[in-house]
Amino acid sequence: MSELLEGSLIDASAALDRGDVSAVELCRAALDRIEASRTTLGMVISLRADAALAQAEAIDRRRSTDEPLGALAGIPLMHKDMFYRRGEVTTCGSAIRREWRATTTATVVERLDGAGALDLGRLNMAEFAVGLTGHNVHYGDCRNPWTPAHITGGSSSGSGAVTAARCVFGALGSDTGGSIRLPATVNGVVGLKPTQTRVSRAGAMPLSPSLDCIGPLARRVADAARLYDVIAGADTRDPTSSHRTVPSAEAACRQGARAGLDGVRVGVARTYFEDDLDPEVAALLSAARRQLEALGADIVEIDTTDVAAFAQLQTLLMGGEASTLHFAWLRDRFGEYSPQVRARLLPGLAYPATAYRLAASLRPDLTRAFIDATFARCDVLHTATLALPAPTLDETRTADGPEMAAMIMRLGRCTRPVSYLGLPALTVPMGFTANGLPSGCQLVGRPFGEARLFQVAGAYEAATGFHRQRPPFAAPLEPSRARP
Amino acid sequence: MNHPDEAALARALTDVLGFELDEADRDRTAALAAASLIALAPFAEASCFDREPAQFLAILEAEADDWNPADE
Repeated sequence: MSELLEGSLIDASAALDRGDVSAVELCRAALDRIEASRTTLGMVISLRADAALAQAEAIDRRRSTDEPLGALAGIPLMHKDMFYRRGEVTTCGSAIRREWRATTTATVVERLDGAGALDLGRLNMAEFAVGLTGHNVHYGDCRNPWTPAHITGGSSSGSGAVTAARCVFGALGSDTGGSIRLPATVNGVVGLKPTQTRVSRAGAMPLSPSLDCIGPLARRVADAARLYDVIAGADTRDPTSSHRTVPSAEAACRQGARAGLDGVRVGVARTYFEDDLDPEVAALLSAARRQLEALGADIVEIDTTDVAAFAQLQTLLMGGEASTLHFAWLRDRFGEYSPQVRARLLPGLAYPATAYRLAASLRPDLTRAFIDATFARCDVLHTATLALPAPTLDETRTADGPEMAAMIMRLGRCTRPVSYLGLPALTVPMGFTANGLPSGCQLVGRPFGEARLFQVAGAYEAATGFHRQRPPFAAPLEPSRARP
Repeated sequence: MNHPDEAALARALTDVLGFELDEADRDRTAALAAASLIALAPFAEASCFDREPAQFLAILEAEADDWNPADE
């Protein structure tokens, strides 16, 4: 059983199909691992043990009668505590919603249910998804399974930690400025921020509707691809969702791993993304590019448009929208926010409406100009995801001090401009820095170009194999049965 | 928007919230808001006229990458 939870979702799915293991056995093993790790890593907010076991029993019954099963039948997953399930508590990592029960179920949760996935519970996150580090004063700081003194990244902190810790095969996260990509990077897993409008947000806690995206985190590229294939596509409950056909990301991943990258053009930006990189991260990025070249890719230099302003424009959009969503609570329940989250929400209330509108109005032309300048010359853009080695929790415990804004800008330097542009971005492990923490590279594509990203990442992963390294604080291989 | 007035931003914040933040909170918030607004300086000459934010989604659709592994 342990080997299955150490391996890939795809392999576990095949083992379930063959009858090598039952969904109930796999579910129990995952629950044991979660129990063994949750105190050390602080990644769990609520467990759904009984409900997940009931799901698993139903899957096993259907399998025994040869009923058709979905692509995720019997696969244990957990999700950031902002994806609603009707009647169940969804805290959003906050004190304000500590006992709030959802009145609807998120479309992405319904789609995973429909594919047979087991929903084992909800994960720690930054309060209301505001925060890039994994600190949470209400539920405890989430800790990195590579070294618990270091950040997990945020806001999908628990999603990154639980996946890296080999408790489950993957998790949903949300990304408004880097909140999937940064936790994926510093936990050494794969994370996808899809194109804006590719995945329905219905039934998910909003932060900034113009920027919010939902996507998967998983240990393997193909695992993330399968999760994405299940959740992507049009949804009548989210009127912004695109009706465009979703090519199979899993097939793209297999194609990349099998055939390499001949003819694929990988762009390297001359400016911004390459500026201000820590030397260790820059060295890993260079090695990754040599590997991509060895796989047949053409590395081309790109003159992007001026990206520097995009991170600030993302701040204006997010700040204006998030502060509006939180306005009534900021006015009436001010003391229930943590100081850091309050400090990040308040500036939006001071923005003039004209500034917010200008940031929104500039977005179409700036996006078109960026796409024209970049993707005329390359198929994917290759950057670091985090410009520095993962810092410690203490180094980033800035509360609401003046250094907070600088820290947020530094952590989100490579991710926030991409959020403003609405483009898809996939982060994949590219090695380790001297502090023992993983680092990842970001592949950015044209709109709705997720399949291309999975093709490149699939080829790269097959040639590198960083996923085989196990975090020292991952779940024990054979946890004792702590549950009744 | 090139030189946001922090005092004016602090007053606006108090008006919106309906209560006074303590001085440290108020000053920090106004400074952060001003720093974000300065980012608009490169676009000071830009006009919102004839710029429709909803065009953003249309551009994503128009510029889509339609590569599909099933076609190869």
